[in-house]
Amino acid sequence: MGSKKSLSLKPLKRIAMGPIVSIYEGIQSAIKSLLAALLSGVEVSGRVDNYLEFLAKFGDRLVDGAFITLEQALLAIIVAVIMATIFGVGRVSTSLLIRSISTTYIEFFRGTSLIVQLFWIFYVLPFFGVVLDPYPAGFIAVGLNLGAYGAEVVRGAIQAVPRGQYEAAYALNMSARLRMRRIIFPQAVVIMLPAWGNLLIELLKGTALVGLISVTDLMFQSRQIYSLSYAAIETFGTILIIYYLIARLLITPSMRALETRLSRNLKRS
Amino acid sequence: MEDMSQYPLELNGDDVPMVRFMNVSKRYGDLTVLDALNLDIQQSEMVTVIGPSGSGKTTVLRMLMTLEKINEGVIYVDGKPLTHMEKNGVLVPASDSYIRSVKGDIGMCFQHFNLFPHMTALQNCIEAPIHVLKMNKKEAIERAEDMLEMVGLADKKDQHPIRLSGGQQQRVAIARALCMRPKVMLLDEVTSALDPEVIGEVTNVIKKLVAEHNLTMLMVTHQMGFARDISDRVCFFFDGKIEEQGTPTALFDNPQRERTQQFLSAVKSAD
Amino acid sequence: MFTFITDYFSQVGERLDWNGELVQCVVFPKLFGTAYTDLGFAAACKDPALSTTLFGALGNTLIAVFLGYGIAMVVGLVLAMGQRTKSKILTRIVREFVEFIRSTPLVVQIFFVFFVGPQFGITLSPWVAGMIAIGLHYAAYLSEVYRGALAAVPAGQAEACIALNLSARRSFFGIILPQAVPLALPGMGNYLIGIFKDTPMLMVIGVAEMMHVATAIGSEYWRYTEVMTIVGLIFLALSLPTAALLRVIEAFVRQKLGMTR
Repeated sequence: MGSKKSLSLKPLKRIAMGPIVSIYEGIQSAIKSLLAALLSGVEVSGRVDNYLEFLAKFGDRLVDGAFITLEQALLAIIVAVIMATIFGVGRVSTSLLIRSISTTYIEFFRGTSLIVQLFWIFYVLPFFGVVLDPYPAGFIAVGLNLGAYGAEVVRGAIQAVPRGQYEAAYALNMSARLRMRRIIFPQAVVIMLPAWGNLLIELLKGTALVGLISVTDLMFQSRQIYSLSYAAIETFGTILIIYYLIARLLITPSMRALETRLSRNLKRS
Repeated sequence: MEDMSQYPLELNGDDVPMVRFMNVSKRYGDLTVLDALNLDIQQSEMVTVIGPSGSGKTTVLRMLMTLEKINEGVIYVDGKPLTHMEKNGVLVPASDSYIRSVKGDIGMCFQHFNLFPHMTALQNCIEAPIHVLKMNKKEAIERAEDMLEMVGLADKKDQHPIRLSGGQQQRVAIARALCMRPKVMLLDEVTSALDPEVIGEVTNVIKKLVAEHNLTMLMVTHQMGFARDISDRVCFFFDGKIEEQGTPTALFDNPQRERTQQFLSAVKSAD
Repeated sequence: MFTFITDYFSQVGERLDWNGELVQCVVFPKLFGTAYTDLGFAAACKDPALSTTLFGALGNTLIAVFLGYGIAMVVGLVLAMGQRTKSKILTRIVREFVEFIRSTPLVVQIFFVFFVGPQFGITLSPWVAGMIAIGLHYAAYLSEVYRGALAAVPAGQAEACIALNLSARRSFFGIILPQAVPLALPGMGNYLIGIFKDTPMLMVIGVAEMMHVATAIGSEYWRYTEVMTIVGLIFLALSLPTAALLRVIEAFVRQKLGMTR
């Protein structure tokens, strides 16, 4: 076992460019001030007697948690999309080696639990000399896991592109790479989008587990808030609703919009 | 194993055909689709293949496009072997890159058009010239516009296939194939998927092609009248073999073989 | 790195050195459930999970899978039928409920069920709370599978039943359901494996399933590599053959019902 290399990725906030960071933090603090303004009349005592008090006391934590969850989800989506594309295309490669590698990745990550993968990446990789902070370990694990499911979606979509498209591209003397890049894959993207809508919701749900390796996401915050307030229904109820809102108001509509945009020229209006 | 020494490494002489099928056989398991086919197509010749379904006529085109691998025999295009290549003085099955270098001479149109749905008519036509022939974009667009003009669709160049009728889509597909400047053009039942009222616009384009361009064409069709009008030669396929071939007049008016007569009368009574 | 594999096949006696390779010898008895009392560990274990071996915990995991799946199959049917009634309001409510369950994380739902009870004076054991949460979560998924399968039976079949004057009961159980079952099987199989892979979430409320025991072992001796790897391999070793077996069963059922050519 060699010396331990520390591979520590900084959170999105720090790696992103300056202006984006300020806009991002601006939105976050704006939401907090809005919440504070709305709840300005609420007196906060030691005990939590009603829901408004609960919000006044823990609102900031909820907002922080929600933003960490969104960051984790966004970064995990990037990982998942990259992995799904590479291994989904690899799954239909003519090379047996590439096919086997892709199948191994897919079956491994689909065959075990996300929690196991998360803990494995966080606790076991250090023994191989790769030390990851909780934050990158979290989104990498979620991304790798959902990437495997995504790869199957990509494979299915590629195979669902009509065979005539392949034949026409072949008849125009296009190389295998060009056929995939310019003809087959762009059409597969449109076919796979609805399935990705569901996958992204699964991914969002998956990010709830990163709290277990102490990333301060919504789920993590919920346990903290609960241990401070013992207000179970308020705490976990609110958290569930926030997850639901992210799924229904952010993910589903954006996927719908993307679908409409991309299939604009493919379907009769 | 087949004895490859019976096949010449390339065809020489004054009378080299544009396409030569030499003892070509195609089997799927036990089923023989084509049995030792020998067929020459001369430069600028228009050959039509007719026959009942399952007679192997579409397979002939797909083999020439190398969409189907052949089990025996060799196909030559413009004197060079297509399905095989020379290695140490004998022919061996061709590599993918060799096939690509030869089949650039062949263009094909399909029954279901197979236009790329995510590209406009013009983009369909310039895609391969730019990325395969490495033409610069301006030239490719010029050529594509010429071809779309030729098929009468210059005004539709920025439309996506979904907004074109079947006949228009097939004409774009013809223009797309022509943009690659093929020497041999394959037309696989190009009118079979069309509504009767738009068949004419496609057949007119093909007639124009025959009249104005110096293309070698091989066509599979169910339209006997059209075949008779434009073909130099008609081949009647039956059961994986050429049962009878000849000029349109000879074959349609005076068929010699019983099966040809049966087929033609069956087609006639259906019309 | 993976010398631990050979450790498992070596003599226990050689590993009694407390100051030396303590860590590796602990995993051995944990895995096979022997000899650890000789080492005097059991009494020292504060975590109840630690008195369970990994394989013992696998038993718990499988119990959780079958209990949870049983609940999910029944409740899922109720949720599916709830969306087939004539009442538009009921359909709408059930629909929203299913959507809500499906788009929120199971782990938070587990917390919710476990911690909300005490607030109203109902204390649920981790097992009961866990089974309710996981059962309900997968009920939502299975209801979608059932619904899809029932909807995929051609409308002509129901019309034929009416034409033959069959009773509603007879047409559902005799005609529609048998055709829907093979359509539902692939989805049901996927979620059986899905529930298996989600049982580790029960660790958050202290159900002694495999992952809980594994982390307990890992944190006790700060040695995660072996246990985590073994847990991962157990998951693979069970889920991949199960997936293959389910495909065989699927094909068999289709053939039995004469739905394949």
